[in-house]
Amino acid sequence: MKSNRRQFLTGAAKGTALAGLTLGGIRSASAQTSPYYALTKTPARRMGAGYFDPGRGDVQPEFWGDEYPEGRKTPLGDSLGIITPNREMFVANHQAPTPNIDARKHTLLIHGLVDRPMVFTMDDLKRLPSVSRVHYLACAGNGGAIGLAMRRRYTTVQQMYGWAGCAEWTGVPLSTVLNMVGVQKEAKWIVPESVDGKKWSMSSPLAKAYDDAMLIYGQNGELLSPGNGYPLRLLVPGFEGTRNIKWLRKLKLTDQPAMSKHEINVYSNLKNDGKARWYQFAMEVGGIITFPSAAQKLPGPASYEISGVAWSGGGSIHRVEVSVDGGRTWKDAQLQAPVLRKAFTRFRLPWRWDGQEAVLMSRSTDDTGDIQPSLAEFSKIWRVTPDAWLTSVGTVQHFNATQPWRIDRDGNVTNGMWHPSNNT
Amino acid sequence: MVLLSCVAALAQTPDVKDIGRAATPEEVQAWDLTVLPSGQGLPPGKGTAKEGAPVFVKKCAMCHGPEGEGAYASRLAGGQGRPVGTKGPFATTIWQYIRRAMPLYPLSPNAMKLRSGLDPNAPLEPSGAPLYPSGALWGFQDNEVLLKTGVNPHLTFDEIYALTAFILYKSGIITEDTVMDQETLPKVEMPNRSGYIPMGPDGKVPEWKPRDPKTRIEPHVSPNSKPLPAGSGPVNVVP
Repeated sequence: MKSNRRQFLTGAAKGTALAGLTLGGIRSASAQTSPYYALTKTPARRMGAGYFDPGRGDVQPEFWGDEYPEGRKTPLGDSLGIITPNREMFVANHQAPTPNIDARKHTLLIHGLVDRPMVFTMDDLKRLPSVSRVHYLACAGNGGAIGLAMRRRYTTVQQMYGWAGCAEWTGVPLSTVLNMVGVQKEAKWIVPESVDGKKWSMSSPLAKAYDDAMLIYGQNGELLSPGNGYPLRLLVPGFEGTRNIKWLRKLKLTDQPAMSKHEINVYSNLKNDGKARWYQFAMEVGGIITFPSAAQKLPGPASYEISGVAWSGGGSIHRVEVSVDGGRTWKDAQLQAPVLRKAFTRFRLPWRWDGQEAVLMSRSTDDTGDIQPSLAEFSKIWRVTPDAWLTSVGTVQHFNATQPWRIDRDGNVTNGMWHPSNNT
Repeated sequence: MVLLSCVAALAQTPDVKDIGRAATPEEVQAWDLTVLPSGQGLPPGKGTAKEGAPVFVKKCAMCHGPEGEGAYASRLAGGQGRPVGTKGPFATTIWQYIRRAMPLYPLSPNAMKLRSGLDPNAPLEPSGAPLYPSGALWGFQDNEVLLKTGVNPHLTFDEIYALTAFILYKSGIITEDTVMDQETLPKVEMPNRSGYIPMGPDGKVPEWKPRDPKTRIEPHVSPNSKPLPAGSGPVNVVP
């Protein structure tokens, strides 16, 4: 563990040096002690989560994931099929560690704009009619460490995209319980709340509760794992991960969103026009190649199977195309049945590597016809040129541009996002 | 659509009369930490920035810096930073968050150092601030108290009003003597009130409906996206 940390820091220091060059040698004395801090001190263009403030550059880089106590990312580079085993499912805890909950005492309170406020024990909930559904779950910031400042620290697909996983979830449709408490006409929102140190709370629309939201106690045939919300969590399929409240203790029905800290702050997307986009809910269509992916190595020219996962928070995957020439030509990949709504879909394509440089990428289309954008298209939505990301600081929420992996002649696979040929 | 799924859910639901129990009003009140922008959920109490300053020094400054400028934990004050709530549209958010989560326990030493951009093996610490707050730490026991009673064991309601006032004052939003209470806090005009999209004309977030294009604000999709012809199944599926 220690040596990992050190390795990671060394990598980061190198990244800073490179970024410093890119920025025209803007480096401060504090770079000696604090490589990351030096980056944040540069007058970098700031986009993503956080607040627009051209006058200051003191936003701290986000450090969630493998560096956080108890946080972890899904090892997608080694993943097969669509199910993420419980021990590998990502955990993003936002500094509040996993609470130690006695399930025999745990209860769920439902109140607010309801006719009959009620308390349910875990036993109560398990007596209600249950369903099992396969859904993926992705942090809103998954892959969103897009700029050089962030990406340089990340070398693997796990580090870049590992805040996502897919599981078979078992529990009670939220609508069942809402019908028991009698939702009043004025209710428009559900405000769920966690037991953790921050009493995490993110509002979701009531319509989602009647659409496909669930109260979950089972994960892949087991009880929920502690890091994923044992004994009870909310699942709002396809929505950004942060709204799937873990360690759920309370649901309040309201006529307006709670405007909790994280709704207005970290989980809004500040764009260059100075306005933050918030309440974005469903994650857009996306996908990545997991093999071959960054930090992996192809031993030599031979036949390989390109493989990856695609997803859409808005529906099911319709098609995945794969390019081995940096996006010039595309081929339909095979989709592995079952192709499920708001779940990972595994795609594969046989490929013979001739030993020459290659740039691999995948492009997903979902059943609403939405197509995953290229980095150039993604940047246009943000009103910036792709180069702007090179100097950006902070995590971009809902990042979903196609991800190129670059293979050199020795078979080394690296992040190809900033290779000149991939920027268009 | 909503109606249909309600009917379907009801039709499938067997007799559930004996499942769950009624919540008592006391229970609901103790458990309810939600404060809405309208002020609904704010308890009685009051405080000013002047009263908040010494509380801040004692219970907040070790993580957020003496002036709320940020240290190990986020910057709180200053209208243009990345504060917890002063860049948000409603002052109630600040009150709500202090009550439910502050003072949050510190991160592990290594996580603290990493977050501050330090090598975990490097000696602490350039600013001279203590790594851990010297006062009481927010722990699981404190959490239990708050969860069961709604009472933050470290801060009274008056102190929370005073701290909220302190942050607002330090951000130049109110004066040092402005009293924050149930009535005044929801009425504070936040400078970034119009900085969010989508916001309806009534100042509320528009209602969301499944697959409703109106509620999708600048979705991240390629401009080549277009609805698929009716009956299109997934392409190239293998069993």
